[in-house]
Amino acid sequence: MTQPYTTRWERRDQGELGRQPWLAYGLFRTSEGVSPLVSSGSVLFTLIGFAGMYLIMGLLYILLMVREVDHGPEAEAQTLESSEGVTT
Amino acid sequence: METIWFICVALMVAMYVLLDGFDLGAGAIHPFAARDDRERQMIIRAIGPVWDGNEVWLIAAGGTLFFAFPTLYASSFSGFYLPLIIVLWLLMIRGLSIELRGHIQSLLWASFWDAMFFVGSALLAIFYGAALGNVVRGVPLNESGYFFQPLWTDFSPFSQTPGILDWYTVLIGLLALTTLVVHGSNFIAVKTEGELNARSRHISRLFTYATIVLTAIATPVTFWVSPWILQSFGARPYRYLLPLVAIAGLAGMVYSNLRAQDRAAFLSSSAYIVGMLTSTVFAVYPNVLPAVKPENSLTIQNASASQYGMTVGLIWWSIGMVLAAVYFVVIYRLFRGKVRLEDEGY
Repeated sequence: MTQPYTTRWERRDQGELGRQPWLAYGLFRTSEGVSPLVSSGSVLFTLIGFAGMYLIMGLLYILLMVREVDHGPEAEAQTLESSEGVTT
Repeated sequence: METIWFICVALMVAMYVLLDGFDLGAGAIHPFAARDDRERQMIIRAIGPVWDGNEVWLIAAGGTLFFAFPTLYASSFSGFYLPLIIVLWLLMIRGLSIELRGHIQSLLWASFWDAMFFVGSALLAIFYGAALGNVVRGVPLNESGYFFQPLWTDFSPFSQTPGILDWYTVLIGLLALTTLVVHGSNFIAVKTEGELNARSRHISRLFTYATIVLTAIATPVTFWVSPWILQSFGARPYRYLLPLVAIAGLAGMVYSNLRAQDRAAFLSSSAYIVGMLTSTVFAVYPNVLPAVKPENSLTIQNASASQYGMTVGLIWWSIGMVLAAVYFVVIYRLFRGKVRLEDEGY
């Protein structure tokens, strides 16, 4: 079941990494495309930020998916009704 | 040709602020206008079918910028690296909050996402204003057209090294926030009835006054920070029409709010936004990113793409715009009228 997902990832990775050291093959090198004045600290900060963001999104996705699976298909009518409102 | 593309990009940015502006504003008034879960859901429903489409204008404007003025795109996206990533994170959090809020029927869950929705919307408005403030003040571009600016320094008006967030840009950010709050509450007033409508109208009135005060402060301050803006108006006097549109919008905002005409109020806040934005943008023209040292400024000439590319691009851009316009007319017609919770959502 996981194979289509891993294959897709693989294709992405090979597409991006296999092209190195070019950004546009034969035209533009990665080293020429780097922003000259963005510090590596900034890049590390945002990399960690994005990783954290996607980690949380992934966990939320799993949480909601598991809930939906637990509910089962027949519970659907019920959720539609109850979405009318929890009142404070 | 460069001028045409300058106008195209300005038009798309204005469309973005106009459209996403009201759903950002709706997010910013969300905790105050809505008193219970029903009303909170109403606000989210009011913007539900359109907010994501509105945000595509930002992406489209960014794409057009990249296409028409690649040097500007490269320079500003590296210079504003951290703030732009923060904007992106805020957009993500806000989008998640709208989408996930209704998935678990729990008060804690819903109020957590409501809080995220508010924080994301309000901070985005401030950041967009601050971004505009930075462009108007000018950035420390070097000879090769790049710059680095710290996120903040000391907030002093006489600082030699102003940060991206400092007294002036935050002032413009606050003006953007009050403006979008008015715009958003006008929209919510148009889309709702009863108490929610009355409360939105009340918020709109308060923030209209705040906007008038901040406009009165920000305008002379802007001329003090960037005196060349006045010269730019002096050089091409027909541009005085644009601030007049803004002033007319401001007057219309007060007038139609007091007479409880929500639709007219929304159109007035739209006119104000377009007037203010175009006055600024065309005062900056022919620069696209003014530098602290004027000789390093990026202009429509030295930042633009090749002539051939721009000519071909104009054809495709026009086709794309027609399609986008059709989509927007259809979706707003489809979801016109007041929102009711009883109807099925989109």
